[in-house]
Amino acid sequence: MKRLLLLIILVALAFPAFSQTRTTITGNFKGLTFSKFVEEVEKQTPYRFYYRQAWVDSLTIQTGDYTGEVSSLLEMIVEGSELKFAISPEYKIFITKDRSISSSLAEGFFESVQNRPVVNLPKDFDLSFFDATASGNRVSARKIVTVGISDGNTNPVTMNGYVLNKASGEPVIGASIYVEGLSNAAMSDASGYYWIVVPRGRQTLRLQSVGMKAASFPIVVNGPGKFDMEMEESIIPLREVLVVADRDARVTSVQMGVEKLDIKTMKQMPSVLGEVDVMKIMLTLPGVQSVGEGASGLNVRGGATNQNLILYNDAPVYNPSHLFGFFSVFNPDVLKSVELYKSGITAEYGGRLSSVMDITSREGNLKKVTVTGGISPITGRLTVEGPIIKDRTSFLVGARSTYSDWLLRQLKSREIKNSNASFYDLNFNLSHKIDDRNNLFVSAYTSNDRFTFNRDTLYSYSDQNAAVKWKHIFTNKLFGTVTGSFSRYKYKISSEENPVDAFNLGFRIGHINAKADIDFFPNTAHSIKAGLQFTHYGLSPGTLTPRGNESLIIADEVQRERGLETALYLGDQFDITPRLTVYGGIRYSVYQFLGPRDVFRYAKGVEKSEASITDTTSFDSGKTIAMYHGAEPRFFVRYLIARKTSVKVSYTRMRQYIQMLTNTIAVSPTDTWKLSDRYIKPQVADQYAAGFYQNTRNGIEFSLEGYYKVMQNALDFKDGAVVTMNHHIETDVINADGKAYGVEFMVKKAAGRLNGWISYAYSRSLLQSKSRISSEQVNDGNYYSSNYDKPHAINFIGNYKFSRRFNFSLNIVYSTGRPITIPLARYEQNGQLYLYYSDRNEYRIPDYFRTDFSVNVEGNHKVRKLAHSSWTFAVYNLTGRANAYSVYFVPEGDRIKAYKLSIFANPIPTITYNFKF
Amino acid sequence: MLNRNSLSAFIGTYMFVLLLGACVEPINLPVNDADVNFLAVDAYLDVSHGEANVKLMRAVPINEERLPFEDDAFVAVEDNSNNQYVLSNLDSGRYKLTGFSPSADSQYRLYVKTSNGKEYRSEFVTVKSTPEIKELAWRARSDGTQIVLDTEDEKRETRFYRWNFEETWEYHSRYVSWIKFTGQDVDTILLDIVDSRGPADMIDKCYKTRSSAQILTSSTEGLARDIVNDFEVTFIPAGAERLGYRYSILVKQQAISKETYDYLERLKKTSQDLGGLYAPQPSKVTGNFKNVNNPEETVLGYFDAGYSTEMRLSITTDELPSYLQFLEESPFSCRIDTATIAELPTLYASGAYTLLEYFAGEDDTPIGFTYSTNKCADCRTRGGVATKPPFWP
Repeated sequence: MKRLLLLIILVALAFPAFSQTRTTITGNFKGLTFSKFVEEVEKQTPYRFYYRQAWVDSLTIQTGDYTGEVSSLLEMIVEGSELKFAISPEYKIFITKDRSISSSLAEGFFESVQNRPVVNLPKDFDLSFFDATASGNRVSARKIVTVGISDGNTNPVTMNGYVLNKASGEPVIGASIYVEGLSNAAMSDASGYYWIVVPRGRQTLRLQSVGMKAASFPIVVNGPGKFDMEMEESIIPLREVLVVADRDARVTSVQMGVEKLDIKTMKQMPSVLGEVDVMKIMLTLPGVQSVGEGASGLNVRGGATNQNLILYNDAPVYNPSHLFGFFSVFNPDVLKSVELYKSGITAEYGGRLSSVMDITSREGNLKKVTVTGGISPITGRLTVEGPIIKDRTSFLVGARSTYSDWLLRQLKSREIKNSNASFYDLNFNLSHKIDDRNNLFVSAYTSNDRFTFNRDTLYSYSDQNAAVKWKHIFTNKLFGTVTGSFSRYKYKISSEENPVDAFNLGFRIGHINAKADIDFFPNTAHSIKAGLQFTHYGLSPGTLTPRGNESLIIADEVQRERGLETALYLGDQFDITPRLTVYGGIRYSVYQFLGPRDVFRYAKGVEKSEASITDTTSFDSGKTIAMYHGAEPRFFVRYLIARKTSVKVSYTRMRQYIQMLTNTIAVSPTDTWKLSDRYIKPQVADQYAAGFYQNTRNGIEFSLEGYYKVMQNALDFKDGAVVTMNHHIETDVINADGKAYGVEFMVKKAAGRLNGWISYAYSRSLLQSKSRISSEQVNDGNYYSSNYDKPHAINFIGNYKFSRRFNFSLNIVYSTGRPITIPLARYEQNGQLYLYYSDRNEYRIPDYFRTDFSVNVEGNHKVRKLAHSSWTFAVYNLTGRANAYSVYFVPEGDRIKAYKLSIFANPIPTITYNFKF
Repeated sequence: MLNRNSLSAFIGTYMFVLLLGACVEPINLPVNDADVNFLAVDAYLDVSHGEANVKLMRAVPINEERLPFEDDAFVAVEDNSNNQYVLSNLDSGRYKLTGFSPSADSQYRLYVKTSNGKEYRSEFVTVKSTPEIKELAWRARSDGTQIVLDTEDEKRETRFYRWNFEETWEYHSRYVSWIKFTGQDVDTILLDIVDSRGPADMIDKCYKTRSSAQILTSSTEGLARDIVNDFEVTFIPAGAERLGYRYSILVKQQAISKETYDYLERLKKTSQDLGGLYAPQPSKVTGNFKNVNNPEETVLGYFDAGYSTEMRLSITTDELPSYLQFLEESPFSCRIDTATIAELPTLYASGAYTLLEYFAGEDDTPIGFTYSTNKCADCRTRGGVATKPPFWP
């Protein structure tokens, strides 16, 4: 080839006198070899050919007499062959095989780009061959790209676009984007979208994200424009550790009390029975507690379990647990990341007092079909994803199911042997890029649990949700999202134990939500978000029907409930100076409890009970029975003391219009939900928080946060309250006020061979119920510990990479024991022994301590192979400490003995196999 | 109706299932010796029999065994027409009133004045009439015998029921003792120290009586008819000694008020649903008594009044399918030993042995004896009495 080129060049030099403008040719070329043809063309025209001899050996020219443009003749010649050609303005003809090339340099290669002639590329120009073009602006390699069109101004401009995973085409969430040498930084959002302000001229954009190779893009900025970037996954499949995508986010972001975990982090942490569990992992974060090991609910900063807004792809999840709390319903293969907001909740979120847990699933691979899966001792799971239209539309389907039935059969108890349990969950996602400005996401999820106890009692529950989200980019500075979502949770209990009272009992809640949000970036200092949200709640609190012909159960239905919540919000993040950023937001929510319904009226001044009902009022369908509304201001301030040191303060007010009715300590699946009505007032919480954050140069992050929270109208229950099939729940509940306060300290190393965190939290959670009626107050109206008041908690999460294939993780968890009510005295009634209990939650169970460890072993590191696989060996509760899950009392002879029940009292080893191909 | 307790129990049980490493072990709680010396009243006015029984006791810390009684108090039933019927103090904190004739539509309450001068009163309770038990029967289950009852109030007024029972069963000692020690003076006349037992003196057949250990209540609220069907009174596991020969159960039925029912339901939770994460919150349960002068003082216990109806069911072991019958074991590793006359005084002195039979010499005088331990030869050592109850055939 070299020799040929040299020859051609020499030939070309030998004929310098030819007209420089002649591009037409005349002659009969039939039967000529390509080389002969080239000679002829070069004789007649200034064109010079560049090609590889081997490509043209078999080619014989078929065209006979011809007069015309060389380019047209070439088109005829190459037609039907694999050859392509390109003609440069310098009269060079490049012959290529399979791919055509651009015969000009990318626009912007030189600084003085404005005056360059416009080059028309061939129609079939293949962008992917270059990875970089001026028009496509989708870049992953080091090619200079021009953004925007010059308009003569010199002020900085806004650039936006998407950050995508090169291999799968999925958006990269939380990638940090910054301009080299400047402090301008941005982060990609849940759809990979980012926007950033950049000065005009030659710049370098740098891009970082967890699990991805850092990338940089030389760009020439002429004006505002769109620029999509692709990142490659770190080939080292050993999970990068953590967590907060932007290392400095904890210091620099205006929000506080935000924790973000990605799935890779979660997967490498030791888990019980080999199931990666989002909810359990959340418990390793400071300020997050649960009442016990198998309990599903989370208690965030002293809040009740029903005060967490758990969103899965924007739709709320009402019961996030399988098997009564042993596993969470979120399939780890489908998840992308989880964000937990403990305070500093921005105005777009509302409806729950304590926290927002935003769980996002992955979008399907846009490039190729992949299958992932895993086998653990309890479940098997499989996920298939891939493109429907390459680079535009993708799908993802995930399924997980248990085979715990055989486990049950291993057990000795007669009742358990005759029992069986099963669960499954399914996820479906579809994402479609309509065009550069419009994106559509569809997500659907269903989870089902079934449990038969002793063959005659069937228990089942299911949670379903679906969401459709349409995102539209109006301009670089304005985009909008419209989301419609639907959630449903229901449970059913059937019993045939005794034909005379065989029954079906059901509960159902439906939640329909529609919202429109806009994001607006008027200039570099402000980022504004506003929106309108409607939520309709429909509840069937209980239906009881007889089962079978012999049953004497009278069909009964607790009146259905309907409620409408409307909220309007506006929030602005304002960078007042580079050091000082404030966020001010306000949400105004209006809640209406709607008919049809018959509402009881109770005599004043006495305990609400069936006996004190004085009247019943009927409300027609759609009539407002009770209405509550109020503002929910949110205000955060961040001040950078130094580049890596900041202080923040925040104030957050939240309102909640739906509450959970539970009379048990842990979240149980028979818990029902209740809308605020005339008697059950909405819960309101005010949280004040302050924090100090510092990152050291070697990547260690310190944070210290304190908070004080006041809750109004928290719900507690009268002793012995009944929550199922209760037609007048207001007679069984107590209005309580709560307060919670605490300090959380955390040291974290997010990267490096050794990484992880240590946290300590001091937190208190107290309730008080005061009433003139003694049966409506607890502990004589004094403050008492809530069920989840655990003052001290220490977590250590450590991770060490021995090599690229071996990774070692260690968790150590300590917390104060949960409060309990214990029997203080015994006495006799009718010759039998009874107990007199202490004040509510006056005592505590023993402290909790647990150590887990796991080793991840990756398969070999060939990048291309049929399947990637990995093994996880984990031991849960390594020290085998018998932590008290609950303490209970058993009469033995004339004494009462206290016993503790430990769930995982021994070390539990598990092996999980994961694959991907 | 809806058995909420069994629901939470099954969820609780299920929890154990997965708990591959679950375990239960004793624990010491750091409980301070709180002052729990509360007065505990147990009082029932049995209108059917015209008597009131009251027991006054004190509460004790849970790990203490003694149960202090409250004697020397003034106790009286009061009605809503200001009549007082004073109970007399028997012993061990027991007080009794007999020959009481109730007047219709009266309400009653109990007044207690303890020896230290504190005065307590219960709330007024209304007397409800009680329907008869419709049927009391046993059922063979795969793992035991179930005693069930049916009852119905056609007037649909009862709605809340409570039952108590007394079960009596016959059991036998391993060996039959035909002779016994008599007299005191073993050294002088050897022959006098053993004697044949008469029929009234036999100690191989005993009768044990026990009262219900649990609160048995049921509500028919929400049912179209006031009917209780197949209510399990008690369950006797297969092979239990209770069904060895003959078993008899007397069930007493009482109609109770909704308040009493609610109280008992809550009280039940303080003894039976002890802990567990899915069990309802245990709670402070106080009854319907108050200190007259200091309503804040904790007083335990309940006063109730009512009619009761009863029914007896007897089962002999032959009626039962064989797999449910008594499986005789030798739990006390019984054996028969022999002794000469010379050894008799030692056996007698130890007090731990019971004679079974004697070997007669030529002149029909005993020359040797068989004997066994009291546990194996005297059924009374296992808690029963050798006297046949009057209702035994």
